[in-house]
Amino acid sequence: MTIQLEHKKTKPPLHFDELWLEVVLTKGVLWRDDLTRLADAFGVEFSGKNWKQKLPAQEIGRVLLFDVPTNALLRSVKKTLAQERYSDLLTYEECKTLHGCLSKLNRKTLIKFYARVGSKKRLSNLLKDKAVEAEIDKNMLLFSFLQEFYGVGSIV
Amino acid sequence: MALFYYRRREMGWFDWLTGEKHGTFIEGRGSREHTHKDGTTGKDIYAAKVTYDHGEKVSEKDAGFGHISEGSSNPDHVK
Repeated sequence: MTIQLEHKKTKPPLHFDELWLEVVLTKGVLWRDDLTRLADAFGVEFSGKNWKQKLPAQEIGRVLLFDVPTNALLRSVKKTLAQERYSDLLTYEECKTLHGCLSKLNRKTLIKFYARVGSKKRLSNLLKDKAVEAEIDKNMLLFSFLQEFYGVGSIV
Repeated sequence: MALFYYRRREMGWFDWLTGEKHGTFIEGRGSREHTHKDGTTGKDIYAAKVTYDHGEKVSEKDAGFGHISEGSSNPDHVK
């Protein structure tokens, strides 16, 4: 228990795969029909009739993220994103390269950068509030940048 | 006193008076009930890190603490 708490205290930046999958699966990058196809492929079925039409897409993505082994999910999501309908979006590899560059920057620089280029103006303004800025960690900033890469800056 | 200070720091005087959240908070979340490939059924409970600007949500992501599968035959699985 102590080890777990200490680990949380000094939590290192999240692995790129986890951040990327969370953005792609829960922030509106993939179309609903692709998410339901992934759920079918991994044997995940939600309660209630017509869940494929009615359940918020991000909820399907969230459960896939939790219940499907990361490597298998990553393979399938990369394959899904390789379809023609997503051809204008950055690929996993392109995103990983950008993320690699940004993750070398320190938190203060990332905050300044996001305040200049981020499309979520309320978040950019919030970063100027010293008390709030102190609570925003590097993972959250990198996550916000990943959302920007896919143009899904708004809250989903 | 400690609680009062905590609330004041997290929400600010004005936000505390109006009851609006301002800053980053850890909030509990739960998924819809679902069935897995192995036939087990459950709900996933997890923590989200949510940022508010004077009551309006501006950012939300998984807090990264793992999740608990409620109602599953394998409740301890945390990814």
